[in-house]
Amino acid sequence: MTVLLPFIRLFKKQWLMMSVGLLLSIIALLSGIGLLSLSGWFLSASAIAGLTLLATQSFNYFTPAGGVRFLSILRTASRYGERLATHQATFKLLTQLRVWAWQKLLPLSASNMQGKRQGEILNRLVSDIDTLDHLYLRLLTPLFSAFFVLLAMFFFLAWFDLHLAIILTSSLLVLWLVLPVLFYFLGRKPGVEQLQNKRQYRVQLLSFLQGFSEISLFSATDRFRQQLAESEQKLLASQQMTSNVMAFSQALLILCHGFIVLSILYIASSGVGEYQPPGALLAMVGFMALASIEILLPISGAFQHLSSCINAATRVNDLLEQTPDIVFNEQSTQSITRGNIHFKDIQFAYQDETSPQASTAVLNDINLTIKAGEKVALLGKTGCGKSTLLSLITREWEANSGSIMLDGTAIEQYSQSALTTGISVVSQRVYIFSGTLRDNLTLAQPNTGQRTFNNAAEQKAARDINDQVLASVLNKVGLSALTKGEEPFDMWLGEGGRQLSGGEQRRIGVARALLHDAPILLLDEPTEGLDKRTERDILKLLFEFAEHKTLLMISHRLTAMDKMDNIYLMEQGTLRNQGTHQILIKTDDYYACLHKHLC
Amino acid sequence: MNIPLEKQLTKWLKQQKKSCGFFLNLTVTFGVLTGLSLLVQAYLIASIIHGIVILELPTQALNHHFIGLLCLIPVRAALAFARERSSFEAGKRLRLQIRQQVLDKLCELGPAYIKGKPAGSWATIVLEQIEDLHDFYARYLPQMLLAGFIPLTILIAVFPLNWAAGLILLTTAPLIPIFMILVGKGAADANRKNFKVLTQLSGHFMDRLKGLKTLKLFNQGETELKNIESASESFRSGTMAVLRLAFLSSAVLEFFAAISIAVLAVYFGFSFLEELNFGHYGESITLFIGVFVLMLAPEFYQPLRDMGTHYHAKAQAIGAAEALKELLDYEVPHQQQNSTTPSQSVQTNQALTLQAADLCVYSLDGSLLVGPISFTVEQNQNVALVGPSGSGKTSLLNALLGFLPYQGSLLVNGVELSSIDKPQWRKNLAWLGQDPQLFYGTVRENITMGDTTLTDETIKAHLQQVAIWDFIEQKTLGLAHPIGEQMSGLSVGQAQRIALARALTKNAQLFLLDEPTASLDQDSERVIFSTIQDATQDMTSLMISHRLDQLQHMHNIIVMDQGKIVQQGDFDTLNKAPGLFNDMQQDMSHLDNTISMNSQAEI
Repeated sequence: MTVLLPFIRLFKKQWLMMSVGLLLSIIALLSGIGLLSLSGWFLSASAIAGLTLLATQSFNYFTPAGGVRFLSILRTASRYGERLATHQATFKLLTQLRVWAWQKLLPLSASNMQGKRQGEILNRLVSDIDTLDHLYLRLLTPLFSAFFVLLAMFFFLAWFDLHLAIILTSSLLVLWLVLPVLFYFLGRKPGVEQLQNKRQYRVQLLSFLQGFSEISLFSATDRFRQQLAESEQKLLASQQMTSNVMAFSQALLILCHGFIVLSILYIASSGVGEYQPPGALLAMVGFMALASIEILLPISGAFQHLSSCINAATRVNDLLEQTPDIVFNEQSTQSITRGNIHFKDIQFAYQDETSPQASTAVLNDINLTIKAGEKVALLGKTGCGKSTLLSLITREWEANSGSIMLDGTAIEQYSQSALTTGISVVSQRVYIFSGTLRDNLTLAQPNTGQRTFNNAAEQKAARDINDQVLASVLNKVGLSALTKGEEPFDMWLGEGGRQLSGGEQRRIGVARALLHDAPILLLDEPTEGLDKRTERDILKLLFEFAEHKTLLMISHRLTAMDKMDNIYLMEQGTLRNQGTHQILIKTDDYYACLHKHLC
Repeated sequence: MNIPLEKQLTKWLKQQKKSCGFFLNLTVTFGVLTGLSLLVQAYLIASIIHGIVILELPTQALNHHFIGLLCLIPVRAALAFARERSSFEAGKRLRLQIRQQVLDKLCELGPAYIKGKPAGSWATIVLEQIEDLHDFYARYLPQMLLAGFIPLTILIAVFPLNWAAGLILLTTAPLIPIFMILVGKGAADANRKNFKVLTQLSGHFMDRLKGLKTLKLFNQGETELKNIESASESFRSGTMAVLRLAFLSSAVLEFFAAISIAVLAVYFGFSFLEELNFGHYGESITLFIGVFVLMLAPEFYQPLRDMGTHYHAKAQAIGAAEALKELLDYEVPHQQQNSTTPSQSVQTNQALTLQAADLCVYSLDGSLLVGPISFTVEQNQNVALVGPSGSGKTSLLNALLGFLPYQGSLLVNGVELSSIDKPQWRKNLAWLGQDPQLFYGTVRENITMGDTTLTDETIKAHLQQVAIWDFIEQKTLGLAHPIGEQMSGLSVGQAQRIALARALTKNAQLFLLDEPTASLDQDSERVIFSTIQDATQDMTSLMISHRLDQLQHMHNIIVMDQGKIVQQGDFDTLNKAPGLFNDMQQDMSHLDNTISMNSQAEI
């Protein structure tokens, strides 16, 4: 239960709307019960009065008749208002939850996320956060309002007959206490299983759909369909269990409530308080007992959701309550201006998740100095650790020992924004966001979005000016095709929008680097998998751009090596040799061999 | 959504209801019995109140009624349980059936069709959209019948007792469906919009999560916070607009239920006080009638109110039906319609020849991708397909794989491809693309793909052939080494080697290759290329390639451009002749030179 606390704490900000919802739900329940009870009493009382002429004339029927009409309208109105208020509050909570989750997620580093696939993270965040909306809407509100209504019923009834009041409200109170607990425990297992089975089915479904070419070509369709059918059966079986619990909860509620109505009627039939026989009060009490099912209805069923809420909360907490293991010095005002890079005695190993002891060394005793403005290449086979070395500079990972200095200051001493402002990266994989072309480019520009404008026209003017900057960059990287057409920067990219080819994506990556003018440029095999023409164009552009910058490129090919001031050969986590292109061709056998396309 | 479409979809949904079996009717029966038991309960309670309040009987005199009530309670509980169970069963059967149909249809349409949308959105259709149908059959449809039946029963019970009370119920009842239609229509439309926003929103969140690394590199994490907040807020306002309408429809119903109770109470009260004197049949109105009718009044509206709460189930189902119906009704244009099901087979013990005459390949939405072209691939010939991207090479291969429809003639060993049973034909094929797919499971499972006849020795031999056995042997579990989802733990090169080993196990007659080395490092490229060369030596093969320098050994090279064959011949012939091949070749070497600057001269 304690896992829910961080989420309940988030409620604080929405307390006003939430209390309004709670209040309205209490009013709605009270007026519903009041309407039936008053009607029953009025009916019986007037029937008794109708028996004698005198009583008929003295009977005040205006007040109860008016009361009945008032309650019927109050009930409708408060029910409507309650729904609006509680839902409004829930959605505000959801927004808050998403923002909170994102905030927590942001500082987590790659090693925090290790072993958790991104699809998993989405599942956790999106669906778990949506599940958490039950917490207020379906659990807490009905529970609290039921309690207050029971209290009100008790005091009202006790005025007539304490004995009856105790019987009715205490038996309802027992149900109020027992039903949630009972159905929480009954619903827990099926709830967990249902989530797991659904996830399992989705995973299988995705791999079936993604690999359908292979599956049909290897005549494995039947086998995979069989697998899918089995997981579907599992999913349905767990849903069936949930449905059984729900059916049981309804049956149990009808049973208990029925007995309560019966006993109240039976007891009240011999007298209510000082009224012996009870007269019209019997109808009032009887109808009150009948109407009390409205209090319990939302409670019994809803508590099946508690277990899924707790599960969701546990998973969200698991992910978000990690302490970020890479911390930036946010107080620092230092910035990277020149672009000196210095690695000293770097050791690094990835922690193996399954067995923490067995970690394999990836980087060993790396010592490397790059002066501002130098163009340096790290050359080595896939898996030699060169990408890891790069990710240490951007602080995606942290070295186990040794230090990295930028402009003579250890990287730990920079704030995150100083570090990202000082470094541009062009990587092998460029992520295109689903958003407009403009969004995809401006994210690389520092401080966009923070500017405030007095009016829309001003904002539009600033945007148009910036669009021209973007257009010129796109022209430079050879994407002028994208700037054709109407409102080119509003063109939607990514999922559901224009698909970019591999080369185009890479050019967007280069464009982002051009927009992000930093003294250090890191290139992670920026032309891998591109055709020769594109490769040449992009490298030419990057070298022009990096003319006065420090450039560190990692590669496993000799492309553009002759333009480098220094080339480091990397092998199994160590720097093996270094030199310029001309020197290495003559002195290093492996390099020469690569050069002749023999290796 | 325009009304005819919604009608069509509702009709489609109703057509599917036969899949639920008799459980749908069973659910309604239990509902009707519940309604009858409520009548009995109202009768018993009204009798008790009348007996004690008016007749002033002692409690003991009414013992029979109390016992009757006692017996009725478990019956009502049992009915509620049974109804819930059978309604789940109805929905479950339907979902099973539809999911089966959808998967069958996807299998029939094939990978070329599936590739048209991201796998995630197909998964949404198969999983969530079909789940969305459940409540329509489990709740909405039975409730619709009950909403007609139960009020009718109550009216039949009330009218003989008091026509005025019956009239009060009867006159308010028709107003309800009218209001429901008015309000429900808006709600359905709004619901659809909302569904779109919802998917966009979780899509947005997912998208940002995927690009988290990029956002961090550009220090945009904080800015993105605002975007997420505003997206979430716009979702909230969108949803609230829908809910306001939906809640309004249930508020209308509740209003009628509440107001009719009030009107009935006032009517009966005033009748007792002899302020009013109508509605009865001669005899004066008793308290029994008053209480009986008053208790039934909420039940009269309850089924309709329940229907209101299930209205979103209908809207949801219609939203889902749109996508499902579109998929299930999809017919591939240009599919060669054979009157008989394709059943011919090809001789499998000999190498294959291919003969294409006036072959046109179409996309699944009917546009021409390739052709008309004619070519021949002789037995044991290794043929390369080259050409700029978009020239139709992959489409041609897809037609050969049976993934795309074609017209004209494509003979395999003299037999028309479209008349060959597809699974049987695919047994003769080995295929390797540029983007290998491995599945969650062990290395062994990924190689055998369910073929139980393969021994570990064969698997090992093939893995050695592609030089990845050393890597697998190092793993503690060896062949049982698990490959994670999304092929985690493997590089692209390693994955491609395993995929090639898998293709080699097939003993195929025809090897189809789609740029198998395009995304590989040099080392893997070399291994894959030479393995393919060895494997296809005594086999017919067709390979798409962009590495013109590797095509010397090919028996024939087909050069394609804009869906047509522009040149054909072996390497030397094409190399000498002017044409597209030569242009491409020159372009390549020219680029080579500019990148690694005149390195030749230096040595």
